[in-house]
Amino acid sequence: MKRALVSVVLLAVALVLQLTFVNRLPLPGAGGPDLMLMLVVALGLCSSPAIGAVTGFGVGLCLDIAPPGSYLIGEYALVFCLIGYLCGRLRGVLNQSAVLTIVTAMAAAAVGEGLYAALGLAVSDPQVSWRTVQQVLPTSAIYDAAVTPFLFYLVMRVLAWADSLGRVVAAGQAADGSALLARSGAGGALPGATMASATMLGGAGLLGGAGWLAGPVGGRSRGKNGGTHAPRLRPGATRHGDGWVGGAPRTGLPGAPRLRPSRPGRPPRLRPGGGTAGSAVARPPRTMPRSPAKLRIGPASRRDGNLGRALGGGLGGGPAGPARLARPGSGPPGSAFRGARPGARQPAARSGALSQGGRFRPDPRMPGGSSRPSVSVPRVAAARRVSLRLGGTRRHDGVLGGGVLSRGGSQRSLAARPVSLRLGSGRRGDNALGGLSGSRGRLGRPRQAAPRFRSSPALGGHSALARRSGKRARFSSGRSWFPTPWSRSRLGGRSTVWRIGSKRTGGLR
Amino acid sequence: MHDTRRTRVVLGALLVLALVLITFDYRDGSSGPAHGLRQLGGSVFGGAERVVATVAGPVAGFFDRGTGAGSGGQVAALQRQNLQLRAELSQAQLSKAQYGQLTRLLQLSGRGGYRIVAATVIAIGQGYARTVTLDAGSQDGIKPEETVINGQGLVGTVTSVSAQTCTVLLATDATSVVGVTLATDGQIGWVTGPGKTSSGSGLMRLQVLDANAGLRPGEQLVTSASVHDRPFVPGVPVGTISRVENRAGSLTAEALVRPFVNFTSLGVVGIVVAPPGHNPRFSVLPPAPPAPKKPHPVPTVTVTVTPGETTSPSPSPSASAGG
Repeated sequence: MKRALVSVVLLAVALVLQLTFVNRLPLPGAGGPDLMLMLVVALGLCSSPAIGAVTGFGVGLCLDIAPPGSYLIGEYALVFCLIGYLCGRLRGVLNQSAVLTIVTAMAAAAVGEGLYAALGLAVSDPQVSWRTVQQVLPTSAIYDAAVTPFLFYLVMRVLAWADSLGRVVAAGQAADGSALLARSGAGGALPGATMASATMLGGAGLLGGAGWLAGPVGGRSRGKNGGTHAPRLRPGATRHGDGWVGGAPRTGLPGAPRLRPSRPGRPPRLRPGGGTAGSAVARPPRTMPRSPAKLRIGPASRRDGNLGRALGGGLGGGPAGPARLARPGSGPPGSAFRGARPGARQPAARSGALSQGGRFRPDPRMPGGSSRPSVSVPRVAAARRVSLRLGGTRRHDGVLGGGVLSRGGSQRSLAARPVSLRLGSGRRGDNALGGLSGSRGRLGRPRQAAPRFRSSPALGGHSALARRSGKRARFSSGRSWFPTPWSRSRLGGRSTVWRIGSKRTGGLR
Repeated sequence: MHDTRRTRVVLGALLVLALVLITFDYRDGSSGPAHGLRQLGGSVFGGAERVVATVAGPVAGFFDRGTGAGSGGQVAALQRQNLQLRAELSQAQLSKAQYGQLTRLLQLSGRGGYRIVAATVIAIGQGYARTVTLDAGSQDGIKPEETVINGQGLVGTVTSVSAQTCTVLLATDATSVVGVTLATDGQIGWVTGPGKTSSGSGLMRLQVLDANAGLRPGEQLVTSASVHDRPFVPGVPVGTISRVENRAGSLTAEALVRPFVNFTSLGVVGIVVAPPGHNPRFSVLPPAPPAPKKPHPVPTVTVTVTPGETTSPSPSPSASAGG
C-alpha cells in the first residue's frame, strides 16, 4: 500500500516534470528522454507483471489526457501497459546482476519507444511518419538509455524507502538487522528452525529491499539505512518453499531473493498463505477457501495443493465419508492424506458432517473450484479437473487422490474411478481426483440417474441443496443454463468407458 | 506472483480498453468519452502544470539561454550566495526577455488590429506531436479553433480548452495545415508542418495552387482568412520562402518555408479572441528583407603571386565575394 502511494506520487511528479520541464530543455536532436516510460520500466521490474501492466496503463492514460495530450487517447496506455507487463515478467534479472538489470531496463525503454512509433504508424497517426520516426526514435532511445540507470536507481531507493516506512510503522521498532535478529531469536529457535526465522523476516516485511545495490551488486551501501542490513538474514527466508515469490507484499522488492526458476513447476508448500514467508503457518485456513480459483489453472499452478486439500475436506462431508474412513490407507502411496496439514480440512472430512463441509463455499465464479460437499464438487470436478490434470502433476496434490481412491475402492461397482485413472495420463495423483468426482456423484444413487447430473455441472449451493433434499428432478432441467455441449462432450467421452490403468472395467451405457 | 491466468486476464483487459479508447478517440475526438477524458486531464494536470511551470519554466529557460556558455558548471562551483545572485539575475533577464516578447506581441497585434489574450507556454507535448499547453483557458475567454500568435508571427491554433489551460497545435505539427497568401502577388496556397524533426531542419512545406506560379526565395507569406476567421485570422505573418522545389509533373508549385517564429523557444504568446475589423493584408509583415538576390555582384580580385617570391597568404577570393 505504501508502495502504491509512493509510486503514484512519484509518477505524478514525473509526469508534470516531463511536460513542463524535460520537454522544454533545448536538447540536441529531435527526440528527448521519456521519464514516464523509464518509470514504468523501473516499476515493472520491481513488481509483478500484473502490477506492471496496471501501472503502465494508468501512467499511459494520464500521459494521454494530460494537456497537451497525445494525438489519440489510449496510445500511450497501450504501449506502457505492454511494457510494464513485459518488465514485470523480466523482473527475474534483478536477482542476477546489476549490469543485466540496467541493460534490461535500457532495452525495455528502447523497445517502448519503438513500440510507440510502431503504434503510431499502425494507426496512421499523421504525426508519425517514417521520416519523422527515423529522426526521433534513435535520439529518444539514446536519451532513455542514458537516463534509465539513474532513474532506476532512484526508483529503487524510493521503493525501498516506502517499504521501510511501512515496516517501521508496522513493527514499531527500528527495522535494522539487529532488531530483526533479536526478534527472530525471541520468536524462538533462530538457529534451528529456519521456518521460524523465515516467518519473522516475512512479518518484518521485506528486508533487503533497500536496494538492489545492497544485494546482488555487493552491498556497498549497507548500513546507510536500516533496511540494508537485512540481506544477511535472507538465507533463512529464502529457503525454497517459503513462498517468497507468490506474495503480494513482497513480490516486487528488488532485493528480495526469489526461488530460482530452476524448479519451475514445484509449488512451495507454504504458499497458500498468500506468499508471505512462513505464512502457511500463520494463516492458511483463511486463504484457502478464498482462492480455489488457482486450482483450476492446471498442472503448473502453484496452489494445486490447496485444491486437493480443500476438496478432500469438502468431500469428506459427503456420503462417502465413511468409505474413506474404512480404508484410509488404500490410496496411492505418497498421495494419501498429504493434505492433512495444518491448513487442510481433514478433521472435517473425517467427521463426515455435512455442516462442516459446507464451509467450503462454492465459488460462483469457478464451478470447478467449488467444494460443496456432496454435489458441486464431484459434478463439476468431474468435468473439469480431470481434463486439467489437476491432481496429477504434483506430489502434494494427491490429497484428494488418496481420499478418493479409497472411497472408490469401496464402491468399485460405481462408475467414477476409471475416469480419473485414464485422464490422469499416468500420474499418481490423478486417480484421486477423477475417482473422486465420479464416485461421489453416484454414491447411493441409481445409476440411471447419473447421466443427467454429469452434464449439468451444478454451480453454487443451489445444487447442493437440491441434492441434499433429494429433488433430483431439477437437475435435468437445470442443464440448459450451462454450456451443455461442452461439458457433455468432455464428460461423456470420459465416463462412457471406465478403466483402471489401461484395463477397461466397464461403462455406464 | 507468477504469470498466472489472472495476470493475463488483467493484461488483456487493459489492452482491450486501450484499443477501445483509441477507437473512440479516432472516431470522434471532439465529443464523447474521449473529450470528457481530455477535459478531466486538463483540469487535473493543467493546474499542476501551471504551478510547476512557474518554477520549472524559468529554470528551463535558464538552460536555454545558457546553452554553450558553460554556465552550469560555473554555477555549481560558486558559493551559495553567488548562486542565489546568479539565479536572481537569470530571473531578471528572463523577465526582461518575456517583457520583450510581450512588447513585440502587442506591437504585432496592434498593427493587425487583433484582440488578444496573452498567455505563456507551460507544457510541451510528448512524443511525436508538436503541441504546447498555455496557461489560459475558458475562464479567460479562450475557445477552440482560435489563432495563436506571438511577436514574430503565427504559432498555431487552439485545439482544446479546459478551464485553466488550452492546448495549441503548433504550425509545425505534421497535421497542421495553414492557408496562406503570398505577400507580393496574392497567390493562394497552404503550408503544412514538418512534424517533429531535429530543431534545425524544421522547414514547412508550401504548396501553391497555381502550378506555374513563379515562387521566389524570400517571398513572405501571411495567413489567408478562414471561414468566420476560424481557425486562422487573416494577415498573420507565417514565414519566408527559403527554397523552391520544382518537381516535374507536379500539379502544384512547392517550396520550403522558414517560419518567422522560433518554435523551440516559445514564451509569451497571444490568443486572438477577436478578429480584426478589416483584413490587414500585408501590413503586419516585418519590414521586407533586402532583395533576395543581390543584383550587384562584388567584383572578384585575383592576386597572382609568382612562386619565387616570399609566400604570403593569398586571400581567398570566393569567400570575400560572397556570391
